[in-house]
Amino acid sequence: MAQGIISVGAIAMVLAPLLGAVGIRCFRDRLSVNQAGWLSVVSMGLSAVLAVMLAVNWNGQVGIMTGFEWATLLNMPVGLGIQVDGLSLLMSLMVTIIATLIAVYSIGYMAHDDQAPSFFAWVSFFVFWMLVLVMSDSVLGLFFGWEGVGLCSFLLIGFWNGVASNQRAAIQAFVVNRLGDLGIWVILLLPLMAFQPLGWMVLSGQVATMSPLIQALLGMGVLLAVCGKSAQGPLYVWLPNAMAGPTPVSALIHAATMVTAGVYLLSRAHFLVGPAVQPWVMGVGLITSLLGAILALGQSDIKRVLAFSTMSQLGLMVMACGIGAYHAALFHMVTHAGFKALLFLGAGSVIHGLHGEQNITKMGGLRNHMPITFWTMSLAVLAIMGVPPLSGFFSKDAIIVAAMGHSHWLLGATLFVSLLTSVYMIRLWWLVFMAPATSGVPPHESPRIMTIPLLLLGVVSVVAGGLNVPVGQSLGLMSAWLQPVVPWLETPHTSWFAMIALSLGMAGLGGAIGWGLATRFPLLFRQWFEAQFGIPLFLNAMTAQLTLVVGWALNRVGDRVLIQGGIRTTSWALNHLSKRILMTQTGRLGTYLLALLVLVLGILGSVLLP
Amino acid sequence: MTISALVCVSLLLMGIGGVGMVIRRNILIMMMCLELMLTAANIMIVTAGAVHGVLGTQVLVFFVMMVAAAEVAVGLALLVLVYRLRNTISTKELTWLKG
Amino acid sequence: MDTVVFLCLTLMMTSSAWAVILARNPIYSVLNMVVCFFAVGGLYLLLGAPFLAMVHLIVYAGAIMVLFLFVILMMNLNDVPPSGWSKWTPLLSLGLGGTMTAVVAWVGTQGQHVLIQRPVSTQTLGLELFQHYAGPFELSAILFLGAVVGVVVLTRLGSKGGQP
Repeated sequence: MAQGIISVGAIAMVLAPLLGAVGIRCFRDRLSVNQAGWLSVVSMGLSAVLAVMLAVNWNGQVGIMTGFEWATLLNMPVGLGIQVDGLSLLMSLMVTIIATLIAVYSIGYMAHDDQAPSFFAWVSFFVFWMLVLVMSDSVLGLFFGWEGVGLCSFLLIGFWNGVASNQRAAIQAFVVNRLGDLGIWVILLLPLMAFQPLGWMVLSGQVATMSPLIQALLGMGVLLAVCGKSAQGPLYVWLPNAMAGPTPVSALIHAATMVTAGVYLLSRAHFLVGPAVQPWVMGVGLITSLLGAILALGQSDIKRVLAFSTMSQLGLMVMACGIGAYHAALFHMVTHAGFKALLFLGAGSVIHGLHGEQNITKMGGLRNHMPITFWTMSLAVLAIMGVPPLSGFFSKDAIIVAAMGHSHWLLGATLFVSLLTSVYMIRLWWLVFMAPATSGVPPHESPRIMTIPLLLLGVVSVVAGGLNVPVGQSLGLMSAWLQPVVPWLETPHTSWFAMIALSLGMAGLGGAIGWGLATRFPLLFRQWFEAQFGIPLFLNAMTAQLTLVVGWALNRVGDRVLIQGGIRTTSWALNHLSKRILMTQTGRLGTYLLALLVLVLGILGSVLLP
Repeated sequence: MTISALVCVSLLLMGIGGVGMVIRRNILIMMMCLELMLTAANIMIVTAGAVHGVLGTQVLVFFVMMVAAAEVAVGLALLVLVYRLRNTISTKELTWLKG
Repeated sequence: MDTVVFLCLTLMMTSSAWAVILARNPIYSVLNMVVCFFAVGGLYLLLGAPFLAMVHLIVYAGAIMVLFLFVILMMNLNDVPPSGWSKWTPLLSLGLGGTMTAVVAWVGTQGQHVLIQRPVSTQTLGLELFQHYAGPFELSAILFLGAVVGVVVLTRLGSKGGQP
């Protein structure tokens, strides 16, 4: 009975945003911005309520409801269903609650945009696909959700599609994501080709039976998919450009939910990432987090700083997954969702208040004009810096402890990233709020509908640390939830005092450097940073330009020489041959008769002689 | 008058007709050589009938003669037509089918 | 006795056949053809087919060759191109014909002789034709009808400028 109610509740939770999206889209022309927005909020809020109820009533057992068997792929039956366990419930809680808050915020942010009803429809649609992604019981359902969120992210990034650069950013996001999807294809098709089912529960037991080569390929597939969706490694290039979308989109998709799908995949498919691939995961995560942190130091666009910060924090999470510390990575994912969404929404509030200004060197002095924004964003900045007792401290502490358990150099690298985090965040904070005002436009505080979500997220940033605080020897609440499906890594025990001291020290040192940068050298190496040290150009040359060159070469050689040459030669040869044969058509009767005679004699001879 | 002699006669006549058809350029003569060839075939048929005593062969010869007659009539009509159009009956000049 | 007649007929046949080819004047070709047909008719008689011999003569020598002559004479096709061969044609054709007859004679020394019990009478042939081969006989009538119609159409095409 309870199981049935949970099944129904889960299905309802997944479908509610879809209904909202369809409803808004259908009545797009008759809804005002307000109505569309509240409809979206109601649908996602309902989803959030259902998620909470599910979480409260969950009995700790992993429940799978295979909804239906859908098709036969490669001679294997595949189905779609919902899996209710700690990880999927955690993800859906995070997604729905944050999405609801962001939707409320968007009602104010998008108030004077005529296209806004479509916006809310796409946001609801996106949440639906994200829920499909996290709640599905097999690789196939995850794949559908993966593609769905990719589509919605494309629609939302390019929402203001009158501007060509927005369209390019949206296309870039979609195409780079598609590259990552090759990895999903690998983990979708390889098990089928090895006659293994795609359900997570069953697959986890079967991986050991596959050959080492296939296991390595599966692991690489997971890594590739994560790089695409979570903007790791060379596939990061879409994330900074994705800031072209409205700020709530950046908050929802690129800070809190979609990019975390990669971390979710790593945790869910942890058994696919074997010891051969784990060092790669760790390496990619580490390099990305370093690169993101460095690039964030010199950006002048407020949203780009946050984008690179997201990239860097995601790198930390991916690195943690690479060394096996899945619980730490997921914990940091949850807390990061909270304060990064707050940072983005606060940035949106700042942009809204300054009537569209996004360059932080032209801001300043907002401390007095936008108090709520100022205080909530400051909380978020402290949280991301890892200042206790905010949520960021606990989650970052978990990652640092895991790194400590791995090796000294990894610990050093992680601490360096934390230091850089503090540097660029304080730089940002100072230039936006504390520096003397440079813009002549008097800013105004945002309306209440925008500031209430800010406040709520501020609260989340403060208390979310309690989710996973280990009490004595037992695991924290979240880890207890995750335990059955995600492995727990034993980490060295450290004293609270030492960690607090370390965090405060890093935050303080970084803050000082950041203040120095902000006040003395706000435009340090601006062009280099804005060009991202030429990395996107290099990657473009490697991929797009290379393809163009290959195409040009194929045209020159393949098309012109081989194909056209072949055709021309064939036609010439046929022409020539036909001219030769034509010589037999003399039109003279004698010739024809002779030929006939010879033929008849030949036939007779061949028949009679043997 | 052995069978082989008769067959040889028939073959020789056929050969002469064939050579004539190939060599001569006058269509009229070519048609006459055609008749020669048909006659040679007739001789062969009659020979076969005489050897085995079958009566149907003579009927066949009868029919062959009839067909030959009809064919000559039509062929000569065509020849007349061609002569009226081109004023020649030499295959050297009648080369419309030349490719 | 049979053999001698046979060889004479063969000589006549082959030499006149050669003469048909080698003659320059078409009229000479036609005449030689007639001679050949006479020889063939004789051969038929030897082979016990008297009716066929008569029909052969009537149809071929009497009708077809006359038709040829008519065409030659009406179209004035008997312009003889000047060449030096016409003097030698009779000798050449006789020579070739003689050679062939010799060959036939040599071939004729081996093998089984053809014995004609009795010649096939016209009555027998007629009964056979009209009893067992009545169908093809009637069809041949249609054949002739077609030939006649065709000839008429063709000749009218040529003369009235293409109005059939």
